[in-house]
Amino acid sequence: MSASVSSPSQQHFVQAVEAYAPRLYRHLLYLLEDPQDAEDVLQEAFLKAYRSLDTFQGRASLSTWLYRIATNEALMHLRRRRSTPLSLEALSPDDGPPEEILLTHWQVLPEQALLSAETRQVLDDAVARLSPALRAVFLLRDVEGFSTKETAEILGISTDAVKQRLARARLRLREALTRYFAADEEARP
Amino acid sequence: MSRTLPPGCRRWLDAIALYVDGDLEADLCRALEAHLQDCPDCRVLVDTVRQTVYLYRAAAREPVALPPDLHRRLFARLPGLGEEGSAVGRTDAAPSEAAP
Repeated sequence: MSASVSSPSQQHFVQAVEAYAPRLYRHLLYLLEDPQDAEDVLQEAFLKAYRSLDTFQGRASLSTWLYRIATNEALMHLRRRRSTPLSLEALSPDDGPPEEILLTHWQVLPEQALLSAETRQVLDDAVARLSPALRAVFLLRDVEGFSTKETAEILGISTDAVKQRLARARLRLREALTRYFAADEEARP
Repeated sequence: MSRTLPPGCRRWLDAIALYVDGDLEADLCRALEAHLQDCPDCRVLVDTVRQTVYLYRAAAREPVALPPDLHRRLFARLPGLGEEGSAVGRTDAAPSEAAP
């Protein structure tokens, strides 16, 4: 299909949709764990961005601006969906470092890891077990590749909070992958 | 039988998790590196955190498929960007190449 555009700003917007929709969709899929919710929130986010085009003055990069809108929409969606309150301002006791840190050494060659659907599922499941507060930071920093400062801007939290959450998220994910890959190592003759 | 990190090393956990991509203040980085010289357990932790981050970053480079017709549904909701006209064409399910 094609979109009809009648102004330069509309044309830029269409280009932004084409450039960022796949990555934003993946981001929302990770955050929301539901394809239909991810699509709904993506549409809402682009609709909101489109209506706010006049207020976008380039102080933030386009990607940071779009991710901020989409991430906020996703977090509002999660708040509506959860029976317990969701706070991004404070970490819960469950967001601390894992109580037990396994020391098994493991190494995965990229061609081994990424061709395996099972490994991919392990990666996805581990992210899904993170709290939204840790998950949002991890996704923006390590999956989407934003800097600490950009991640702080997108989420409206301090850079120190980003660093702390990123550390906790990485440790929890590392623990999940260690338990999976260590079992593999031990099974080898 | 798997071993676990000694309690005395737990104070380095957050620093190790940030050390892998250099996101650590200089003083703390020097102190951690001094500790790593003498601590094989924390070196295992550094290696496996680094592997973890690497795996997720590698997975993120895989193409992302959008739901069919997502753009059509989206543009249909945007005032002034209906389906009529042909100024900008596009194809759904295109892989993502954009950088932040």
